[in-house]
Amino acid sequence: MIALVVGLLGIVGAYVGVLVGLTSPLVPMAMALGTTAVLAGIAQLAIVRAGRATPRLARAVRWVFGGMALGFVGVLVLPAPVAGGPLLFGLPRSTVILLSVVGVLPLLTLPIAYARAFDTEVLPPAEPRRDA
Amino acid sequence: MRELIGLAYLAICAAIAVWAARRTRTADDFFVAGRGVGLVPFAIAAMASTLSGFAFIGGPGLVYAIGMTAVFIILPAGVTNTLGAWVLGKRMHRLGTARGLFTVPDAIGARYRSPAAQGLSAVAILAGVVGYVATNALALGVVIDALFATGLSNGIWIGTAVTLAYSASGGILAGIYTDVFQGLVMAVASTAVFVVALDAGGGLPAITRTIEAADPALLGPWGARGAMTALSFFFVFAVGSLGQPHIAHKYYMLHDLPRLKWYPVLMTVAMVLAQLLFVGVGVAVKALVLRGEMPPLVSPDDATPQFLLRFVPVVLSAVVFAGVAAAIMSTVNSFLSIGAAVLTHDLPRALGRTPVRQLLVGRCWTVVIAGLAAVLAQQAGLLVAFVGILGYGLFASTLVPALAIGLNWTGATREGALASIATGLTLTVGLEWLVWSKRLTVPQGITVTGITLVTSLLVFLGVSWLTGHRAADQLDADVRAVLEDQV
Repeated sequence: MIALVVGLLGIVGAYVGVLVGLTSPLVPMAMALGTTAVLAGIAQLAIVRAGRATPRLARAVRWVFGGMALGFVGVLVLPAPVAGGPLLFGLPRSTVILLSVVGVLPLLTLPIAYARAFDTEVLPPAEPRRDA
Repeated sequence: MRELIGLAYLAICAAIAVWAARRTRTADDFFVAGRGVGLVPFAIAAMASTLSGFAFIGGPGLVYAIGMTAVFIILPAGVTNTLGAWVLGKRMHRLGTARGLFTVPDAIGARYRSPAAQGLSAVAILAGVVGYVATNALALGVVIDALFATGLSNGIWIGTAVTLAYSASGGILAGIYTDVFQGLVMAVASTAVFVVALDAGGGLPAITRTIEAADPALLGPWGARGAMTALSFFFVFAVGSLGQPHIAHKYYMLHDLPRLKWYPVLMTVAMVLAQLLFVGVGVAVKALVLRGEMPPLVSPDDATPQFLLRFVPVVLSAVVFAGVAAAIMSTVNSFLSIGAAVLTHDLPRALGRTPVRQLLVGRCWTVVIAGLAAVLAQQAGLLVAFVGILGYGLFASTLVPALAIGLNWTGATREGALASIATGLTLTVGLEWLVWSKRLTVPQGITVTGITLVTSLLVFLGVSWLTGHRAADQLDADVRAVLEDQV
């Protein structure tokens, strides 16, 4: 819940920054970290059982959203690509880094983590498999 | 050839609809497919109804115009496909079977023991549904006109009539199984055109070199509109996806919970394939235009149609046109179903009445909504443009707090839910109206949906905290058991 609230306030801060015309790099940084925190906060809320986060899913949340935050920050501080610069898989390197960390990492990690944790943490043996 | 494939596509949809209509005997069949949908149809139908014609026409056009910035609309899919199941799947399914629920407002009403919250969320959904169906009816009219030269007006009526035929007869049951066929057409068409697009552009490195020589920012990490716009898109489409009722209510339809295990994997694969065209055509057409191998586009939305006409074999282009129609029809069917459910079930309940003859009444409302949307769609460029932009933002700002957060936080209160839904509804309609009528300009980097979503979330959390002492009393025992995994 703290991550969710802090994240929302970060996004509000970024929007206010745009509205008052701030050009500081801290503005998109607040938006990036705020968005990541909101997503992590919602994911974390959903995996709490009896007051404690389920371990496998909690680990996936830390990896994916931690990686996403690092990816956003890393690319925000990198210099913008220039024409004729080095390419990776046919795209500018910073673009590939962002796509990998924000798109591909969760794409590969979250569905597999969910499936692997399903029988122990999402629908553990103590719960009915089918509803009456 | 295009006409032939178009007719074959419509004939297959009709055959599936007839099969499904014969199996639609109860309101449960009509609104939640009899709660008997298996994993594969569930995942493919969710993908098909998530992607509208925007994935094939508007999306590639946006990539053409603003480059990587537009990719941030689909980039959240890596997170949202799993997050939806994670946050909503189990709880919606359990609530649905425990209480016999079949709409999203039903879940909100049960969560907060509040007919008012159910009614208010139903009003928000209805407003969004009419807008979505009208814009998609217009898009379908454009596709049918392109395929059969019917004229736009006739195309709208024909497209609406075809979609209505299976939506009114077989409800969501017919929708789910036509979605499976339509989803497969979309995935095949998108993948094949992606390969053709990269080949036509000379490969991704050549495409990149051409584009960056003209504008290095376009394929930079944030695209032409910069980091704030890209991140705003990411926030709106990642968090907002949790409030899309046509996806959320599908969790009621799953046959049993263990099938949810592989849903995110399957949904992710289907989504990736169906969205390849979104990126591939956008960047390839940009490079081809810059090299002079294609004339400049009159409108970015011409990217896909012009590419199909110039570079894609006629059979494949016909399949893609069918894919576009499939994307639109599957979305329209889902929205007709939830719109009819709101009018048949949620609003009467919110007004203290017991819904009666829901199958028959549901079919009648389906016809009324489709008719109204088709009439609105005839006003192309005027009112339909406004109602069309309302949908996603309305769903996100009114449903994410009360539904996605509320089903995972026992501290949420009825007052918080009502305040956030009212805030989302009034703020979205008000701000979108001001922007649409050019009375307000939103600076680059901010989206209206971003503002309304953040505001309604903060209102929900703030009011729930202020009234938190009432939270425990507002939870029925069976709902609390679902929320706390004590079932």
